[in-house]
Amino acid sequence: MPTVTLYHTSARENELNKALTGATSRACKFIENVDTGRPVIILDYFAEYSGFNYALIDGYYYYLDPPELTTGGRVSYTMRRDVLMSYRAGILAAPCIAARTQNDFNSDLYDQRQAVESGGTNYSLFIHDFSYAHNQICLAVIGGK
Amino acid sequence: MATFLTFTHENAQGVRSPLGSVSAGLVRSFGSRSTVYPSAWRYTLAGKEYVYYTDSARNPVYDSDMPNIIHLPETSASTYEYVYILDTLRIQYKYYIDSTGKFRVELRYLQINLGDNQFRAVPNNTMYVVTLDSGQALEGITIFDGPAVRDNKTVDMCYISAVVRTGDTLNYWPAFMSGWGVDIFDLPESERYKPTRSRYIGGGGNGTYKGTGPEQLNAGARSGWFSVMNGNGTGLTYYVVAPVDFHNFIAEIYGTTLFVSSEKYQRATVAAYMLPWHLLPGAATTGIYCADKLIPKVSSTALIGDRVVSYAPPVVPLAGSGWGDFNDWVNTTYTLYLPFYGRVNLDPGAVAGGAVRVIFAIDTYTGGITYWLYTNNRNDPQQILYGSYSGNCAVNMPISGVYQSPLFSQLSAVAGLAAGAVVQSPGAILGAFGAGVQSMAPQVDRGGLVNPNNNPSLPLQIRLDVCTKNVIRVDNETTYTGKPSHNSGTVGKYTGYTEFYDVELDGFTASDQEKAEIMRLLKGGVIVG
Repeated sequence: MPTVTLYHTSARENELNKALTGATSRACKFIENVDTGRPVIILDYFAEYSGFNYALIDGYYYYLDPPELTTGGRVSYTMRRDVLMSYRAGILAAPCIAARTQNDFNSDLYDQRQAVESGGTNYSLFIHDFSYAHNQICLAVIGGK
Repeated sequence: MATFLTFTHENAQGVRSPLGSVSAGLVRSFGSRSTVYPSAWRYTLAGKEYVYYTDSARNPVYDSDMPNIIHLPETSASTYEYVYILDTLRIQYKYYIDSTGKFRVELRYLQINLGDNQFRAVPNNTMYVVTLDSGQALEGITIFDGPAVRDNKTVDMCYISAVVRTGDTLNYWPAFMSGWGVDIFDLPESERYKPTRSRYIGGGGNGTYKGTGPEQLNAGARSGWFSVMNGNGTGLTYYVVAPVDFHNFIAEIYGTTLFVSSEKYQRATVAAYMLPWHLLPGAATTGIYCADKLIPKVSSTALIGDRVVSYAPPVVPLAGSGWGDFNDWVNTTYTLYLPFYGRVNLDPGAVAGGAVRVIFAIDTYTGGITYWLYTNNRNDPQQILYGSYSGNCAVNMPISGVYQSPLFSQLSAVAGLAAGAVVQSPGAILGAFGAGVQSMAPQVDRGGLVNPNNNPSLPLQIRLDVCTKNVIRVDNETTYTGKPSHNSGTVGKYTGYTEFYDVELDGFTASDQEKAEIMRLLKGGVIVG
């Protein structure tokens, strides 16, 4: 009999390292001819069956659909494999080029998602004033001394 | 309150004696400064010692990289007060020429910010008056701590930049940064008296001007220029005369009081013009020579000794949008206005977050002006020669136009007409005499002066206009969407929200469908551990 570890998680689907709580291990059966990417498991009834939305079986992580109560007093979960958690070690070691990052970004790169108003702020920096008000007239003559 | 600043006095013999320290109370008063000069005030701020001293002429001299220290006016003959500024100073002056011809600066208020964005009024902030001779103020050039104001009241690092005439009242709001005052915002009238507005221009390091200060470069011969100044009739002589002397000169050579025939002297008058620059005064002379003839009624303050004068205003740091990022060059424009040349649109990438430095040189013989523009951007302190621009800043004196009346007195004598009959209509006379009359006209402006004569009506400020769009930022923006990165490495190198261009997913075993799913998620953005 395979063993399933049931969890609760409030993590978002796109988290590579989901926080899991409430681990509970139980014996389970697979229903026949299931896709391992979307298996269905059947457990003996237990009172806390509705408190889980995540599971681990044989090293793979799964999202749980809402449980179903079946004939014979069983609990059934339809599962969907979480590829991020299941292959996390391989993904973390994979070479990549990052496009956008929360940290380690380059603020000099143009950000197409930047919201910019059409209006803006104008200011002037004054560097030097010329003035003709010096009361000086230059007089160029031939035959001066 | 913490001690920010300590003062030490050093006399001419190098003996130091502590004077005390300044807490955040902002103002420190001291008595009895040594009467032996030079002597020095030393103060220590944040562990670094600076020297403020007076030279033998009692002129204040500062370290070029000293923080803002405001030397307030003396409250008595032996009491000196200093205000130190750690971040931002708000100050408002009123500049004007009073009825006695003195240039006056009234300090309306003074507020300082110690870095916490709390602007505190400086104690004893009533009204201080700075007085200096109008001739010095009319330089229109920065007055930092110079001797022009030393004998009365000294306002350190005061950026005065204006064409001031008797009776004018100008209001400026210098927005100082920590360091040299580099900008003045001429605010609308309605905002000039509000102490709440400040436009902080960051960038350029910490805003401290590290250069050697405004400098007069190479006043004198400049390589590549030749001098044609040579007295005694073998070349051109350039006199500097006051308007009244110029009037006397014209009256002499176009009138009939001194010479029987003055055509010789008219022809020897090659050019007369004004420059937007205060030529250094020299030895005054009474009487100048023209065509080897002494004209005694005309005084000159100097010969133009420097063929080329050049000047380097302070470096201007540029922040652009203020965000310190790509908006500085994508959503910001920089336009430099150079008087006598026009506008120069700067490449934002060449200046954003860096600094611009404008140097100019004026050929005092022709009015030719050349600008050199040096720039650097945020990422590289090395300044490059962005461009050079030239124009002509001389304003020709319209000798033959203004002084038509005496000229036509001459003409009427030549034509044998009564002077009174022609003065009323000089234009008609010109037409009647035709080419013969025109040949009588003095040929002025042979010094190569080609320029519009309305220069004084044009904007005369070298100014840099920065227009930036408003950028909308929201809280936790990078947490939700990240910012452009384009870095490489492994996925595990990153933290937080990350989107990927591409990931090499062949290092582990998964189905094609699963890898496609992984790729879709990674490109769409995942939160890496």
